[in-house]
Amino acid sequence: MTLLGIAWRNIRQRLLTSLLTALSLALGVALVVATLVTGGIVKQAFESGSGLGYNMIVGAKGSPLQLVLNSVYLISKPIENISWDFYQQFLPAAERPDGVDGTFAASTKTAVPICMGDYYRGFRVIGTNTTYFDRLTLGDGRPFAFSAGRNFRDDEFFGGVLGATVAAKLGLKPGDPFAPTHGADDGKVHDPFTVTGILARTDTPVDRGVFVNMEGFYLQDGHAKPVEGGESGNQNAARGEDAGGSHDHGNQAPVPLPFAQREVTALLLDTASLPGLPPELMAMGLRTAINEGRDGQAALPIAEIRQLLDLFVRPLELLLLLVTTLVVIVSAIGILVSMVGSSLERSRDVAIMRALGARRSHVLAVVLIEAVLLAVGGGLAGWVLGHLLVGAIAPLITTNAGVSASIFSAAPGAELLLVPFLVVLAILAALIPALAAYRTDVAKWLSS
Amino acid sequence: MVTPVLELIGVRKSFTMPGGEQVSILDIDSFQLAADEHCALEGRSGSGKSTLLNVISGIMRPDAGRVIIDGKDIARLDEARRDRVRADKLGLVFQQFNLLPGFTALENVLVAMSFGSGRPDRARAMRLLEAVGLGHRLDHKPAELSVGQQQRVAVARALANRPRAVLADEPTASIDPAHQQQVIDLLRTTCTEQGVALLVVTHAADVAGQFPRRIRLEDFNRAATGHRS
Repeated sequence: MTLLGIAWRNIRQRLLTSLLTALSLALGVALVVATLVTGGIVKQAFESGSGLGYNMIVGAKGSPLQLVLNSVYLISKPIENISWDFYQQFLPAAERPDGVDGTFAASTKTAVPICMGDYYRGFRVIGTNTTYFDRLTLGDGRPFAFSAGRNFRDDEFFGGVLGATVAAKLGLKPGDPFAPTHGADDGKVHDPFTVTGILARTDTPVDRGVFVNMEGFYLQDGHAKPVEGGESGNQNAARGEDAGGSHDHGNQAPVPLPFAQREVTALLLDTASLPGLPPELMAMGLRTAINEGRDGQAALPIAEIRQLLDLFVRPLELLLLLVTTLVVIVSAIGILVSMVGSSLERSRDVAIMRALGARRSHVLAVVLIEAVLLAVGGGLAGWVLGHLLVGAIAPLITTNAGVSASIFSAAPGAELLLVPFLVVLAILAALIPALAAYRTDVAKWLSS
Repeated sequence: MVTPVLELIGVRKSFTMPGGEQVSILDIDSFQLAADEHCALEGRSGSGKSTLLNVISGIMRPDAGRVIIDGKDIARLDEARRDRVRADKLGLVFQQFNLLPGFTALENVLVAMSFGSGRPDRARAMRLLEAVGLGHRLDHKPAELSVGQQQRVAVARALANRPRAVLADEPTASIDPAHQQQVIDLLRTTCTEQGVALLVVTHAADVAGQFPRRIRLEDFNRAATGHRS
């Protein structure tokens, strides 16, 4: 019988105490694993979002973080809108109406407009144009892919593209109609759009977006900017709707909203690079130029998110990690308590083993091996439990954070260190009972 | 006389009492146990029997003298080496049997083997238990065995590492008279079969009377008078 076998037999001898000790460890480890993994997922959610194929957001003046959270992560509220004319200043001459100055055009490679404020069954509706999916790319340079259908065309005013999470959760497919609501889920119901395509999963906030052609978006009630001497609402007459209110039923093509009545919520910019000038420097210059003006502000998503992570997420993560680590340490102390509690019984067994020829190092090793077995057993059980916990809340994470989470989501570096850390803790905790076993007075115990 | 398996020469052992007084427990000029000898060691309570067994088995180190086990003076060895000699050369049977309660009969024998020089031999452990009539109780824990059966496990365990001598400390003191003779018979028969010397410490005259050699501790331990062990 090996020392390992003896230690294992000792654990089984005190089965209930051992199980409770291991369970306490398992719960502590499960908490740490769940915290590490979900913390990793949150960071991934922010970092993947900030790495989409644009490097600057232009929006109304206000909080740059709010602008980024709203435009990139589809959370928080829009600040305000920027003018259509301001947007036009970012477009190349070929796409600008005559007479509009292209102040920022030279510094802009791509400018994608987005209009926000509507919802569809809990998901944000984003009015945009075809360039969103045609020109922007994912963080690694891959173009957006469609798992079904296609991007809407410029002339499909009431076409829409759904993110993977939206389509999966709502069970929509190309050809299905959907009617956004104004301002909130319980707001006024707008005219329906038709799904033209479903995006393949991107593990970014895009998965949670409902993207509609901004031409159709502008034609909804309450989306036209009031103009002096004009009507404040949209021009139903102008869009040529029939009594049914649906673009599909109209005999006439819808008429676009006049430019004078248009605004956009934000622009997603991919800044240009010029020979001899680092792109970062160019972006900084453009940001300064925009921010010095009165029309809007520019924010760099990566910088804003890094600041957010540094200021809030990382300290929160550290705090959670500290608390859960304390839980593990308390659990490890449970090993000490459990072993000290059985020290009387153990002393007799130790004395018998020593009388049979066991050396002091043998009995010391047996106690430490017991602690390591409890730590490894409890640690592995906790690791599995932690991942089961993450698996249980994965649907919630996927829906709300826009990143895929599952039972297999991992925080590899920290997780790999967890069980060795626990083993070291357990050995430290077991040192006191182990040394007590080491010092057991054999003659005294045998004579009693 | 054949070469002794156990020899004590000039062994002295004393303890310091709480008041600082030095109390001599053992003062033995000479004692020998031959390799095939069965000996009963009698002694009244306090004559130093348990201390003597602790010194012989290396659990305690004498203050002076030589304790020679199978030709090796363990009084000169450090504790770890004395432990090794105890595991390899001696088998111990205790008054309370002292089986490990969480281990089966077979495991109690295997545990003893794991501290010796050889590898734990499951087949031998089973043979030993079969030899003491417990072949059908291998997987029973001490609590599931009768007192007599527990003492049989203790005897099998004492023989686990092919010792040169078995030291039994009052092996009949905790069992009823009906089983006492069985235990003595078992010890003597088994030790004879295995060619192992046997030293039984007892205060029971009827037990001591069955051994070919019967000695009183007071006769060769000058410190025995008036002291507790």
